[in-house]
Amino acid sequence: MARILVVDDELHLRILYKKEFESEGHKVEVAANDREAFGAMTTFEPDVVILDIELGDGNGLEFLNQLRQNFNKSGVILHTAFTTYKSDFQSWLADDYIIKSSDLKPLKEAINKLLDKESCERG
Amino acid sequence: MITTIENTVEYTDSRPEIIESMQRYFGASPVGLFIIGGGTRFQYINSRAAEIFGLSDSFKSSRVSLSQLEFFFSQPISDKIIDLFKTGEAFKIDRFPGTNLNGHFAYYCLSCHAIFGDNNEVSGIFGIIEDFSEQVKKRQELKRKIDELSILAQISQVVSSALDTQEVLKVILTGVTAQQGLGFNRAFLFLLDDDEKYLVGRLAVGPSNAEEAGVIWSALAQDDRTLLETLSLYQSKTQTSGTNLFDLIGGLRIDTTNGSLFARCLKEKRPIIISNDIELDPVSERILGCLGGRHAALTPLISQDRPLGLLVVDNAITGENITEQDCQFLKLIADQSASAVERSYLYRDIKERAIELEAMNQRLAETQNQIIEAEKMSVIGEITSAVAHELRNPLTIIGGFANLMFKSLPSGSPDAEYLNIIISETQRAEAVLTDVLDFSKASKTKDRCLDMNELVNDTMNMMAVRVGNGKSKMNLSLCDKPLPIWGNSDQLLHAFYQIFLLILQDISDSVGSDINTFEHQGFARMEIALHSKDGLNTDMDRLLKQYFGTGASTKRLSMLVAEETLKHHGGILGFESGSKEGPLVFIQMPLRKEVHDG
Repeated sequence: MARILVVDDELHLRILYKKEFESEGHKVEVAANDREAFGAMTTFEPDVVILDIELGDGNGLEFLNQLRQNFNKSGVILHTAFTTYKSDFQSWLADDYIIKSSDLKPLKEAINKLLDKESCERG
Repeated sequence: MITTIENTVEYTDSRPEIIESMQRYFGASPVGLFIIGGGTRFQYINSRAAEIFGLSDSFKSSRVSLSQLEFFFSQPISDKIIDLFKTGEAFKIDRFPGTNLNGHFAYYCLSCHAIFGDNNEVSGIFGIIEDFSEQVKKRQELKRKIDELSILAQISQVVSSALDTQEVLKVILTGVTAQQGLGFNRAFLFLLDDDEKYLVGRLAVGPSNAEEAGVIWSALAQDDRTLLETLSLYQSKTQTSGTNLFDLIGGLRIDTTNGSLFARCLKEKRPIIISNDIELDPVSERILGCLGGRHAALTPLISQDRPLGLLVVDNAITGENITEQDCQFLKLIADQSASAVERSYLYRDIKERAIELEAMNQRLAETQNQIIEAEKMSVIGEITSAVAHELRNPLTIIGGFANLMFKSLPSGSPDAEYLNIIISETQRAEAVLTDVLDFSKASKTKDRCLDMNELVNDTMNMMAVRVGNGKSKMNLSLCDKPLPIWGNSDQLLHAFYQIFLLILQDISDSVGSDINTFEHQGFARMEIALHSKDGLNTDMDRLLKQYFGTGASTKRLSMLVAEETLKHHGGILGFESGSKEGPLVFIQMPLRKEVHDG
């Protein structure tokens, strides 16, 4: 079981991911913007952050930069509808880059890969 | 022998006081005066007349008879003088040639009047003799000057109307060699090259040998054309005669720094006559050897103090001498011609610039159109991208919840089928979005030179990944040389891929396809020829018409996007149906002239 923080400005996506990952036994928190997410990082201490890039008023890539400076232990998966950000060097700070799809398999595989990696590093 | 009447008729002399008065008043007159008395003997000759007749002092002191001046006065003139004694009618001879006792030849004017005695009989003849040579000389000089001015004016007139350098040169050389012009046997024109280091042989006019001269000159003599007519005729005429002569100088390059007579003429900007007695430097000797004459005149073409070239003339056929006077006139023509040559250069430069400017304007217009098209495509790309992203989130939510519901359904629930439909249709919509996003991404890459063969190859590789190699029998035959086209590689690859996919994914395994690339009337062309093994080509026609018809379907829409992309690159997407061999789909792109840069 892992602690997953979903950061997305789409309410229905937040609901979808919370239900899906909780059904798989994970503990899930959601945040609609970078301010909420920043608070959750301190209180919830997630293992994995699923981070959207276009966050209404905020920018996911800038928030990613803050995460890397302050909460280096959490793995981050950039989860977006855009393919173009993949070539943006700021997105290289993330552990993975997954295009949004109704098929959640790629996202789940990325989460598991990240969790495996973290458990290996912990020994 | 002059016949005189001195022995047959007795005449009395004029009165001595007349002779005395003549001597007193007209002895030193600049006009030659004389009196012939009885026996046709000269009773009086003043100094000027004595000088004209070439009489020495000893003659002057004695009474010279008319017969003693037979070398001077021809028989008809002597007869007229004798007749004057009989008739008393004065006469005047305006201009007659004569040689005096000293052997001096000149033209003279003679006027004789009768001197009447007391009984009204002719007692003597009063004569006035003048040397006309100077006037004749001056008149001839004047005529020559008028002729020269006329030639100069005529050459200038024709040259000023010519703007093409070659035409200008032809007029100059024709004027220099025409009999009505300067009349030199041959003329050669050398012009400085762009670096102004070498004189390069540009044009030659005249016969190359005596035989050819005979033919050409006798033909010209029958023409009876004025110089102006001759110049106008040869201005635009393609040169046929003198071609052999041009061969002599065609490959000749004269170094202007080697100090030869040719180089000196150009450097010192003055004409040089190369006479037979002048010592030649080796270079000049070699060049004159090439031209086939030892005696020539060189005149520089100078315009605004800048040397442009060299005019060389000779009389190699007739062997006639070239005088300083000829050379001076040649210089006058050369100066006039140099301005015309310079003007033709300017005209040529302006013409070239105008053509360049036109080409640049054309390119500018094309570039502007390309920019406009690119801007349009860019805007389309951005809109497409924005729409695609806006659609992806709802599709993810719909499909995601459908998946969630599907998993929570009890097995055997009738709703499972409907949820499955929602899930698969959502995935299909997501696949279309991916294609559209690929297109919008492609519009961001820059245009470059591409090889249509490589494009087809890449497309085939992508097809192999998507539909597998065994989907249908595809025979690929690429042109054996590159087919360079210009465009955005991502956009074109996407368009090719869409077209291949749409056409080939729906055809049955029994259909074969021949894919060929080749050059066709300035275009790079790719054809996909479909042929059914069971001969059902009409089914394939029907199938393909849904992509190329007017109906609205997802496939037609995808084909339209691909077609628009090709059009944007100046290309065509076409479909030919109804043939027995089967339908044909083709793509034609403009061939790029530049070398393929990969």
